[in-house]
Amino acid sequence: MILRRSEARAPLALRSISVAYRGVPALWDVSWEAREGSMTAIVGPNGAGKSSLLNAAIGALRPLAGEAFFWGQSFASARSRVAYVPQRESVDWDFPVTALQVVEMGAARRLDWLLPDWLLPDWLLPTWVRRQEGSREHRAEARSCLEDLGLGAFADRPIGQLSGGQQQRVFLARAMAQQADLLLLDEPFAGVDSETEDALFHRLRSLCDEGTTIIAVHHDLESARTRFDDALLLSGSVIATGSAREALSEDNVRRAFASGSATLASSDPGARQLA
Amino acid sequence: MFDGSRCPIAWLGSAPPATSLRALPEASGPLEAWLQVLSFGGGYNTNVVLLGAILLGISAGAVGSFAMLKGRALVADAISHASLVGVGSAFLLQAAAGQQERSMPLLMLGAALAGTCAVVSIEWITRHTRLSAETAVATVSSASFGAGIVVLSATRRVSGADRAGLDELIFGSTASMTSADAMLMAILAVAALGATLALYRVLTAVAFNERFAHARGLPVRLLDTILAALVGAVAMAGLQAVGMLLVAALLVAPAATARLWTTRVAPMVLVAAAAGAGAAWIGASLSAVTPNAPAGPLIILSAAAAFLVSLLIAPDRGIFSGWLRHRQVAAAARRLAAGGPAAAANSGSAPTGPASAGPASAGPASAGPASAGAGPADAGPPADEGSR
Amino acid sequence: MSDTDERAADAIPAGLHEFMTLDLMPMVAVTASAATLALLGSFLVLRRQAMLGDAMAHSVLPGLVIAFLLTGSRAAGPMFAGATAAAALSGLAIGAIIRHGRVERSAAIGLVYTTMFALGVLLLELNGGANVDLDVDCVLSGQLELMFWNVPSTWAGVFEEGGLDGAPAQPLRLVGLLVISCVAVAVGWPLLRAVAFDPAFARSRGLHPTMVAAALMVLTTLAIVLSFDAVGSILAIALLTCPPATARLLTDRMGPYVMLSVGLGAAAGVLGYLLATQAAPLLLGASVDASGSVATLSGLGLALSAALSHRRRGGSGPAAARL
Repeated sequence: MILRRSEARAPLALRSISVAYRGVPALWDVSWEAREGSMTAIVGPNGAGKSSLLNAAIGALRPLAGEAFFWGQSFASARSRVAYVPQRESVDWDFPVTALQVVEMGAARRLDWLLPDWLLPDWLLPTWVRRQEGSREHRAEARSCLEDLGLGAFADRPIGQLSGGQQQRVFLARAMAQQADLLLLDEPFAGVDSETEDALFHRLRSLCDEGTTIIAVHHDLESARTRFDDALLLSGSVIATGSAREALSEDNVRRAFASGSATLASSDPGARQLA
Repeated sequence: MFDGSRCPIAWLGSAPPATSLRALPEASGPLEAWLQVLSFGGGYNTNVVLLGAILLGISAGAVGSFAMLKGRALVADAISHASLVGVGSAFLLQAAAGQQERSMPLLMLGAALAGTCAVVSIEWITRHTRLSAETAVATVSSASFGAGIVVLSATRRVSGADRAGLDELIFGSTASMTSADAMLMAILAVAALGATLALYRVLTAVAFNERFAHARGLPVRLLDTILAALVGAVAMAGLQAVGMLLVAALLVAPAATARLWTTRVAPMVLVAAAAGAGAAWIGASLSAVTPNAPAGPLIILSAAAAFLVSLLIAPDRGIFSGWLRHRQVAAAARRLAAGGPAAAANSGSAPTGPASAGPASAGPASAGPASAGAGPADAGPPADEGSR
Repeated sequence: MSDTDERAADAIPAGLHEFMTLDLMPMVAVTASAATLALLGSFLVLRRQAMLGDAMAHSVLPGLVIAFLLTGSRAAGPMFAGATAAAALSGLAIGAIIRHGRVERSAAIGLVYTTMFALGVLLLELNGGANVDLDVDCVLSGQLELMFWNVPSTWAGVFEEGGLDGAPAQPLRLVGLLVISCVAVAVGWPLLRAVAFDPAFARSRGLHPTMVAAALMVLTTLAIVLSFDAVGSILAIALLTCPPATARLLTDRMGPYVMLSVGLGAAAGVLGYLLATQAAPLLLGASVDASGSVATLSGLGLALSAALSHRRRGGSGPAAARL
């Protein structure tokens, strides 16, 4: 495998990725590299393959062809540096779990996934298999992430009792608890009021300033132009890339929305969910 | 040690084995015998039962199409499972009244009442609690079947009455059907079919988009009730021939088969009716010439075979055509990827993309019949998912 | 105190001895299988897959019948192998039908399990007269009455070594499975919760939602196969779905939810069995089917909690998200 220098450095590099659902293409030959420490919006009409792109990158969807590299590595080796926030609709919000427990899932390491700490406390384990941070620590870490997003008071509420915006913030808190260098967000602002959206953007921007790379699927052209650094305009294939203002010029956007949003909308399952 | 009264094998054998075979004049081999029954060459009773089963298959296909488009296919499952309580209770009442002969209409009345209760409880649970329709169907059908088993075990204690027909309702038996039973089945089936055809347009509108239908002033809840009643009528009709554990499949399988071949409602109803009729015809006649083979499973297995074949070879939705399409598209994608990153990077600036890069049929811009031909049947259920 | 007095004090009273002989083991079997099914079913209901339990319970039948016809015995090993193969086959078929046929999920499930069940019934009936050990009635409601125990006449005899030798194997196996399932769930608790709540996220963290689901399915199949004697395969569905659904209406925490579900299952087992075998003869003059009454009771529990939760919510409209 020969990687170009920029591919080896980029937090996310896609090389000729194509994805199809039941033989009907949703993404065609997408090559793109994310800029380290930037905020990128993935924009396109319904069914343009935005969510498919993220899913193909993290291996949840097997692409027909092409590869994705994270700092030149496969997703499996770079996993601990990447945080993925799925679409709101993909989760059952009536699930009996509290906000804090959701965020703890982000902070969990290795052994935390098996053996709850009340069943096998850390001090019983030999040092080499001990949890990287004591489970108490990671609980505290999760709580501080929640408080950071202004949800401290809701930590022990069942997640179904929170509003849509609060649920989205819980998801962001979970991603932050992962302490990742790259955040992949799938429609993080869907069903969120403008006030919460402002707050979330603010928090994302400060993460970005600390060096985290952020890539978000986004549906609003206006805020994509003003609030993101870069943009990737998709409509089945790449229409334009570059700085958000240039890539999302009136001309490019018209081209993206004219070129087959109507035909693709019905073939992409993701598009149906969104519609 | 083995208590025959509580776990009897006896009733399986107690059904008269293949009555109709005895009615056949002369048949040299099993195949000839089958062909003879298939071409309505059996006795009068056999022919009436066969005809009734075919009518049942037609109406099950038609009603099942709408039930499936509305996402209510498995309500039939709950209705039929619950009907055991009704049948058993009706039987106990009948025995208490001192009546010796089982009367099919009375048993069916009991079944219909119990089925109604099941549908009402499922509706109530989905509307008023956080449980989903799926959970509601699974719980109501299994718990009421448990109650049915309790009642059934109580009927075993009732001596003297003729309970031969009772156990057969669980798995179905055409062999023990009289022509009067078959007439009852045929009448119910034809009534359900007639009502479905009469309400064809409104049912289509509701199945396509419930909210839109509501906005247009259609009585959506009334139509829901009517559809449930039609499903119930078919389930009752099929109780004796197919059996209560399997009658739901008669509504699901033909409709699912038809869905593979077409995306529009009218052809779907037609294909489903034809598939249902064919399955009933083949299954019931096979059962008539095979000793010990109950009709219900044979009818369902014929319907399932039709579905399986369709799933493999149907154009567009079939596994085979999907695989061909996938192979073609994947090959094109790999050719592109092999062109190297430099070549691919260029495509970002110009709007060449799919149409020129891949074969014409593979590009996203010409997504093929799958999306272009998306009729109401295709768009309906997904569009409704949010509202449910 | 003389030796005979001591022995008399140690002897099991006649009434209790009769209960232990006839009813204790069936009751243990029903209760253990109800608790196990409720435990495993709670994850099915949580992941909105109640119908999948329905599918598993129905579609193991052809596997059981084929294994039985091939080996001629009801040994647990081949039966489990056959059932697992049948369950896996139907799982794959459901997946393929949803993906390729674009048939709605519950319809696809209904199609597959009725087909498998029809196949099982057909095979059973074609080989009908020959088998006394495996017949359709047992499929419906199990064979509890066969589990009697030659109880020693004294308490000391029961607790001595070999006291349980006369006991039937099924109840003990079911208790063992209950313990194994509880341990498995406790050990994998964080994993199970994460995978059930957000599979897409779990996958991105390197967990394997499909593997976890498959492991749960294998355990559930095992529970269904072993429960076959106790409750039959159709009534197993009631115990897989009703106690969890009841518990789900009563609590919003996952730990209490699962524990409540197990408790409700066990309670339905004990009460349902006692009602059918002890209370029914007094009221109706004859005992009724015990596994049926367990299933009915679990359904009544759901009805009660649904009515309660409806009143508590003040008859509010349906929740936005549903199980």
